[in-house]
Amino acid sequence: MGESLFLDISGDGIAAGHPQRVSRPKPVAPSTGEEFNTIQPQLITVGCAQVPDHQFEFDSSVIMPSADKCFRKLIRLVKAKPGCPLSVFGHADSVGRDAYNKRLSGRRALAVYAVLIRDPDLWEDKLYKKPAGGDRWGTRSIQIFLNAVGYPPGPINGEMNKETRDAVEAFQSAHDDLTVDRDPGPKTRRRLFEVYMDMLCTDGRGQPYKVEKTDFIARGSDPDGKGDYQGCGEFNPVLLFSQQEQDEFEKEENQDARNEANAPNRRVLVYLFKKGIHVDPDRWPCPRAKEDGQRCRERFWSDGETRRSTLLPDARREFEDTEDTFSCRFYHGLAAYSPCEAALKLWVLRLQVDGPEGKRIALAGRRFAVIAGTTATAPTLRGTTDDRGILRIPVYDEVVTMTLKLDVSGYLFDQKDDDQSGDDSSDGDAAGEESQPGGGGETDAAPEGAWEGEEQFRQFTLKCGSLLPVTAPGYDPFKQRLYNLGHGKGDPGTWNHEATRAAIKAFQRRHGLEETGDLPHEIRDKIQQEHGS
Amino acid sequence: MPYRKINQGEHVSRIAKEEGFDSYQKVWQEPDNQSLRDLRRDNPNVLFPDDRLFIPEREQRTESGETEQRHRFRLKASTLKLRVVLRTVDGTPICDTDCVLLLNLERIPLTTDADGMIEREIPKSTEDAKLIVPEMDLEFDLKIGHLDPIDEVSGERGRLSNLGYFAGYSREEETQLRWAVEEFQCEHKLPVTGQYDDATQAKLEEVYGT
Repeated sequence: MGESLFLDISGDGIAAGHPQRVSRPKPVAPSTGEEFNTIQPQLITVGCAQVPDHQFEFDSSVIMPSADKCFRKLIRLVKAKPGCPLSVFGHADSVGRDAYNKRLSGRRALAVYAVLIRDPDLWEDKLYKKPAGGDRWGTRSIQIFLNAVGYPPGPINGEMNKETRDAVEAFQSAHDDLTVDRDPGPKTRRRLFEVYMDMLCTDGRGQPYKVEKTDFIARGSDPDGKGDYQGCGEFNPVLLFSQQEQDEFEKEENQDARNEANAPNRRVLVYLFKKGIHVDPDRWPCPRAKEDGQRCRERFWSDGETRRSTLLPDARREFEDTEDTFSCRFYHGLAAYSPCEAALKLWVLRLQVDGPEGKRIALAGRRFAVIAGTTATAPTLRGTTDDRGILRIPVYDEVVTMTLKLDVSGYLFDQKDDDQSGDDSSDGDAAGEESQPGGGGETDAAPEGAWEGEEQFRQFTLKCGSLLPVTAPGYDPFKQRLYNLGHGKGDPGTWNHEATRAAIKAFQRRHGLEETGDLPHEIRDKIQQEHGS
Repeated sequence: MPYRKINQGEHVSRIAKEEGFDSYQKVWQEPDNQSLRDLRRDNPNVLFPDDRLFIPEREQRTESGETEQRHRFRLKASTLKLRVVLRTVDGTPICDTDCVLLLNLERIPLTTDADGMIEREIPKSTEDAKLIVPEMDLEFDLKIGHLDPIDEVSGERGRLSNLGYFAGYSREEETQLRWAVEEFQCEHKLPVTGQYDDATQAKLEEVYGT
């Protein structure tokens, strides 16, 4: 059995393990003379975590309190992949000048890096005290932080008013090392930043968690973090508008819409690299976060400007589909297989069993293991279903057959073959999941090894992409869905007229409908609705 | 059967030994192999599947010696070596560092030299080996004799991937190959075109070593 997959898309952002390419032996030539071979390991990313745009203040490097969930996921990933060094990449959108975007994306990357290594001085010296363009921390940031750590300053409006000073005083009084002078000076700010960082970055049990400087790929050996954090500016968008959209967005009245539509491009990514590697910052291609983008351009694809251009295509381009939107070739190499950049395709399965009175009961909180693929090295994803019996499986392109092993202890199943067909619905949008207890996010560290008693789990074979759309002709799409919903026996592709009618009747019976065995539109809709696709 | 068709992984030293020659030169230098020598840039260790190698008749030599006496005949056999330069992920040579070569179930301790190179004589039939650098947690499985000629796409891929530029495995992975070519051109100050032109090929041969 292969390695464990890591995936956490609960709530906001994403943290995921990267699908690993199979390592093959290196072809080498023997020598009878002076010739030789050169072998250098490849720079391989093994995981990623994303902090989306709305976890920052607009046009700012101030991290919002709600980013705690992103950090928690990142820390889970870090703990799941010990010894794998990190590097932080900030990205901006293409609104505004290259240089400005490069700097802001670098400042956001620095802000995240500082939280991870818990260095409030970086925030103070490089961000708070050094405003850049619209990125001015100022009193507003103090208010946000005070509010988040339990000292409400009144309305967050950037004004150093009485309420804010009261909150400062309360904060100072609660910390012995601070003089109570109602002024958020450097010492107070340092303490506040530290407390806020501890609130932001915790492990699964809510304990503050920090990463060492030496856990980054250049081990903190460059004073300005070369290799460890950098800004890519606007060079690597995941989404490019069509020329038409672009023209619309250029209009003054559409500025807000443009900013909104550009949000996916403004993001911070933290990558984890293969265990044990490190680099000399002088040999790292990316310039420092504080430097301009000249060195970035040296790493552009030969058609790099075309890649990020909106001038050519007549349709919107997304990296996920076209894989040609990043100008920087080096970054492309790190991100090309990353679920964090190519929005992940997910299989969303809802699991249920028959309950009393024809009701269906969600198989909630059930342990499962999914083996993605049929080879001996196929990776395994383990987790538990959520409150509604839903589990999400990341789908990698090449995988068509998966085996689901599910803990169904306590339920009896009749014996029948369990080939299930499914579509690859790309959900990805997990909005509204945050408040659901039992989601993947809150439990600490996904289990790496097999579940206890996993060999007793009920096994299902899932075939990706074989579910016919409901618009397909004939009864076949509904036969598949009825079968997935537990009606009928044997391969639905072989059901005859009678078998199909029996399955429809069973469905009708369960819903208290007249058992006609017919398939009018109402029934079709109901089947589709219950199936979820 | 004067000609032998080359299979993946075969090289002249190995074939010569199988055919009973003590030195690969006796096969390689045959006039009938002139065109193959030209095609494969005079490198007997980097052939391509379906290449045809001429196998000469084995020479019969008669040596005279008296009976009841001991005679010593020394064969001038060719030797075959494995020469590998090891680098870290950022391209720094791994110098003066202990490593282990696993060869035919044998663990051979070696130390890289000042340029990061290990050199070791190997049996001519050996195909599989493993090179381990314990202190850097590095392990490489090697397929000796499997490097293809530099002017074949598979040879281009193999060298680029060994140098740390993952160039894909299959014909379909064109973008990955182009990615590797451009990264290589960029790091070696060549015009970045993505085209595997003569200058790029020459540089690749120089940097890779074969």
